[in-house]
Amino acid sequence: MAERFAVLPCNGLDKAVGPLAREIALAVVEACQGELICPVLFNNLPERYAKAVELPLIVIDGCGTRCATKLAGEHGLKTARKLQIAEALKLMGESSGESLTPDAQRLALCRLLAERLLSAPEEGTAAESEAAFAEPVEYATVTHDKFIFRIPMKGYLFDENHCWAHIAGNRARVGIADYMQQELGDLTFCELPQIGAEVEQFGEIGSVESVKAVSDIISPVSGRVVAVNAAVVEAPELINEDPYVRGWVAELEFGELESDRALLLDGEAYLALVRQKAADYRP
Amino acid sequence: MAESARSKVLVIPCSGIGKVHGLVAREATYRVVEGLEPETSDTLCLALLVKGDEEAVTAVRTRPCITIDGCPKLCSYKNVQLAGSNIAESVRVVDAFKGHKGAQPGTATELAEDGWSITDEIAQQIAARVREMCGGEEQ
Amino acid sequence: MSMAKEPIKVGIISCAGEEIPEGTISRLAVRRVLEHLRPGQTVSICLPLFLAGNEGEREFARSFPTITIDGCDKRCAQWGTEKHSGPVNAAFVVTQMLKDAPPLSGARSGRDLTEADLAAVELVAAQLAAALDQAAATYAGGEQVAVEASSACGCAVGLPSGAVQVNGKTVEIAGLPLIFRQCQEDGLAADSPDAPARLLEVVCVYHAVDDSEAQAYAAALVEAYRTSLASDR
Repeated sequence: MAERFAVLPCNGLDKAVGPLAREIALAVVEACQGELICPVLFNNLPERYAKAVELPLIVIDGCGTRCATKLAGEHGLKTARKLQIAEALKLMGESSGESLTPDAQRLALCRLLAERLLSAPEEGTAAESEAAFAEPVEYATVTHDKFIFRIPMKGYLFDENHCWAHIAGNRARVGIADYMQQELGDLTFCELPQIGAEVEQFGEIGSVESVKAVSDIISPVSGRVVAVNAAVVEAPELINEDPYVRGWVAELEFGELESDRALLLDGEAYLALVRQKAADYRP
Repeated sequence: MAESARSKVLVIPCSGIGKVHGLVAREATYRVVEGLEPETSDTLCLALLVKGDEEAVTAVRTRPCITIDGCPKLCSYKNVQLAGSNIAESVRVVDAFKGHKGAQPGTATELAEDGWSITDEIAQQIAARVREMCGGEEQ
Repeated sequence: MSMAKEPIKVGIISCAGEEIPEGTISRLAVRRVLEHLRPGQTVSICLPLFLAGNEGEREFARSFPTITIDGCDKRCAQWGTEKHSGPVNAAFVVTQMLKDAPPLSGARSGRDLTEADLAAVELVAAQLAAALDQAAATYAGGEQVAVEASSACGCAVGLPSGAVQVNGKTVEIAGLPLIFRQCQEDGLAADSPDAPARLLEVVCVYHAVDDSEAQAYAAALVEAYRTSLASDR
């Protein structure tokens, strides 16, 4: 079952971002069957939300004033995830507009932001994850004509579908290899799994689409999805640019690493596979 | 009014030969400069600019430029910027594809129906920007 | 020198030529060679990416035979390739190749090309394919076959050549003017202590030099280079 959250949006009655905060909050609450906290009532009668605040908290601010964040801080609440709408829209190349009544386009953006909130990693764990999955220091390359395929030699395991798993502790990040992203070309879409989904070894963990083809991402390892990389939904080209680090797709907590490992290729073995495949490479 | 050619907005595609996106960038440019806004827009050879052709360099420095790149490598944008242009708009064909899931655009040699449709869409977007830019410059 | 037995892939770099119809012809001709006339034997190198610094594209052009095709005499593809990867095996200019063919319609967009335009594509593609075969054969043979010298224009089938005096003999070296031009652009002075080794190194890629004559060749190349630089001023 998906995780439930309490959601504290800002009010922002007199700004265009205010209604957007409300729409996002409603979408999140509906999706996760969570609890909505009214900031004004919470400020006056916090006890009204005593049960709600036992859930992990999502805070939604419309603008840089961050009223909801301040309110949560004043009441000693720990924030699991947060969103600042004006900032998020700017990063997407969008704006909140002027109207206090969101139009269809802005309602669609609200739904997208709600989805992202629900798929984002928790505050505090995101930084830890990034540190754990450090950039590989050693790449081998296979050259075919003008194409250069990179393979990280340590810390990565591969399956024969050109997908990788980078192991750190009891977790693994997965993604597609350089060979596969070059074969597909510029990616235009990436679909991610749901957080909490259980994945079998060699099961589908998402998909990528380019003008040439749609390809499933085959997970090299089994486990439970604990995080997804929302950035690649917005910018699938991250996978083309940096398939092994910034282009990760999902993070799993292991199932059976040792038995999974027996069916996977280490760097050397995958390098040999790519050498063999490169001869047939047709961009 | 200045000579009309010299005030035209320059639309500069990457024309990348290896991908369908490069062909879309090129064809969208022609749609704008030959079809939609022939009086107010023109194109320019990117390679000539990179080569340092004096006329090309002067043109991008003195006229408003819109770059169209097929892919995130941004060859047109980077080179036009390096040449000293203040780029008014940077268009990425790959972004247009994000609104067309499942599209079959064709190949780097020949566009299919979806490819022409996306081309025309990009061209309309650029033409609107050209009109906006020209409308802003009128006295 | 290596005696390669497998077919060698040849790179083709086309100008993008957005401003002129010949640019479109150039582009389509390369695609025709790549997809139909010589599939699997050609690598098309993207000129914008090449100029922007893509190392894979540049390294291929350095290491393998490369042909350029330009829409007009400005020769952007040839210029770019020589600047970043070295002399080319053959350089074509569409305006020259089509000078005796029926005139083009003037269309630049694929939507507007006429039968005459498509015929021009076929004509150019056929010549490219022939040049590609020659470049591949030359490379695969392990020694440079002297190609037809051309002093002038872009429809040259091969490289322009230059002569040097080595041990009292006149030796024709294919590509010598281009090699000198590249070295000049790289800032190599004739009096530089690196000049003999550098010139010999590049020439050896295109011309067989016996070890016993290496020193004589180096000296001759430096003299010829000095003369070449002086005549440019």
